[in-house]
Amino acid sequence: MNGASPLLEIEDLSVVFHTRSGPVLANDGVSLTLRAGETLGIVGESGSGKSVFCRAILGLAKGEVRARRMAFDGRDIAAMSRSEKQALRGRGIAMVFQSPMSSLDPVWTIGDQLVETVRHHKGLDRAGARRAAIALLDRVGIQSAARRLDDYPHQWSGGMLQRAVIALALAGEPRLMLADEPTTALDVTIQDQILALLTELQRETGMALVLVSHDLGVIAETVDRVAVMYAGRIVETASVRHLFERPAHPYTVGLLGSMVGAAGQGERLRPIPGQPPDLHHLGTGCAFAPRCSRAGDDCHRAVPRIDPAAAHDAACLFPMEAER
Amino acid sequence: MTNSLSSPPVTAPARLAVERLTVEFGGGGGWRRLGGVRAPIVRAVDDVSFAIAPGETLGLVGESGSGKTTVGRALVGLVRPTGGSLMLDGQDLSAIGRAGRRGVPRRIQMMFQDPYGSLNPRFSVRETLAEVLRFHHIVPPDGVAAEVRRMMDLVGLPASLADRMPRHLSGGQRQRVGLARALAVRPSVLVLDEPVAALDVSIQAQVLNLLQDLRDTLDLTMLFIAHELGVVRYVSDKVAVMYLGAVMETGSAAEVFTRPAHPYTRSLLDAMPHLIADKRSRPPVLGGEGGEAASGCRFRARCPRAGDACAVAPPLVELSAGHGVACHFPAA
Repeated sequence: MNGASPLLEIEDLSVVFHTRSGPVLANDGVSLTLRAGETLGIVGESGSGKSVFCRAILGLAKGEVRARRMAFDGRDIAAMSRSEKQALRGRGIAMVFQSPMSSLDPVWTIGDQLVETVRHHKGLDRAGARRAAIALLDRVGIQSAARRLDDYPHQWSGGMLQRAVIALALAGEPRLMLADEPTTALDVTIQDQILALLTELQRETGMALVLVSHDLGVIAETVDRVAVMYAGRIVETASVRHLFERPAHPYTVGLLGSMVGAAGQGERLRPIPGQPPDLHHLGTGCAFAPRCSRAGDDCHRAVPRIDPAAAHDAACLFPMEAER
Repeated sequence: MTNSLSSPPVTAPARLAVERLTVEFGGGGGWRRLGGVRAPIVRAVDDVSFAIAPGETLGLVGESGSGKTTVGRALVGLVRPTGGSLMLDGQDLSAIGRAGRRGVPRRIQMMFQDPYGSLNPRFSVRETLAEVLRFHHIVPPDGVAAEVRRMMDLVGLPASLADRMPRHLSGGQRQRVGLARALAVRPSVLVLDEPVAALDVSIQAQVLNLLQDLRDTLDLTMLFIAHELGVVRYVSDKVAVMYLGAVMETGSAAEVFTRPAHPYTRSLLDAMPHLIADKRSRPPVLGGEGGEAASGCRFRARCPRAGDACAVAPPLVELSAGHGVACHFPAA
């Protein structure tokens, strides 16, 4: 770290879900630091723990959350009071979910919800908050915002609703936006619009952005740095460029290689063999070892960890391009 | 005005030929009539024509509301077409009566996107497959067990999974069960509606490889419906790009993806995120959203090339052999 304290510090975060069929370690020893204004992508397949990680930061995870340290702007989140935590959500960190309807209430107008949020964050009167709400909708690209403010969510398309949710998130002028699969439910031309909007807002406001996605293409064009998750652990961190040009973890290599774009026309695709791990029955070693062609005996004994401070590191005993 | 290609240069009879298919929803029928409500009529599929040769795969691409799924559902009889005809091996399916129609589901089968929604949650893999085999009398009763094993093997499901319930299978495994069920009745045409959209990337590749293998070994003709262009390009011989119910462009996959002529096809390709680490600084490819089809060309409200001529809907015309485009200003 060079001087200034990071915006977000997560050290050794674990989230355990206690299910009827036993405990599930949804996040296991996740460590991550984020500087102010940085853009980070978290990639992983379903069950990799990427969404749980975001929720845990906001105190929204359902499971049992433990961490050696979780700090925002140098302040320990665990030590915060209830009201401080509430202020953190929205004003410090805002979240955009995959489904806009998980943030919007169908029986209230878009305006009601936005005005309420603006008043909560800014303490404005109704008229002032209404003007601010219109400005926010305008900012996220809603045409004739003043006229559309009193619409109900069902009157808007999925793309417009996602814009409204982004407006809600911006209302508190957050320093960090967590976007969890914000474009997964959208058509490709609308996804393109939302990614353009998020990139533009990030540049303009200087907020940090964590973009969670299963889509490596979306990650490639939206963020600077990437963390790859597998079975609740971060297995590789790198700049986007390094990740695509010289991936080090065999899982990352497999993921990139299995994409349709990686094979030529008529060539067979190269899927990662085997099935995704069963989080109920994770062994002692690397969770990817059973599917990994490079795995040796040691891989089944202990879990390799990454150095969160390194520019590029893989949690692997036998990384690719070991000569690096 | 017609959207069909002037004369298909296909000499061999198509396995499946769709001509001027139209599907409308709404109007006053069923429950709505009781309330005296007339819903506006929505033309979900408007004058769509295409033909698929035996063993060929046609990719049907489009965003939500394009009507691509409705085309697939019309083929297997899940929605009733308002107009047009469906020909299977030269036989008009709409002309044959109900009795004749009963054999049709066996010849055209559909595999659905959502493995959860399309499988009976209380049926094990064995029961799911056995039921289909018995219902359609595919094998004699004493041969059902062996045929179930053969189908599971065909789609790469280990025999040890035979007694599992859908909820105890992974997404990829469920999709294989859906595929086995569709193939159990030995269809000649397989309609696949977003077969890999719900799957993780690494599992997607497994299922796509399997589909390619099966297509070769079983000589299947496939209609592959998907929104993801990379996947469609990979599996398809030919593609048809739909927008708000109509075909905008059609041709060989190689031609359409490397020399897209319709501005909408171009926009789709440009909007697709690429696997190149390069933070975007470009504006969005297209403004606005689909939704309501205006008069004239459906795409004109969003089209960067639209001119006055576009107030009249352009017919689908051939630019070169087999490459058709419905645009007044196609890219050269």
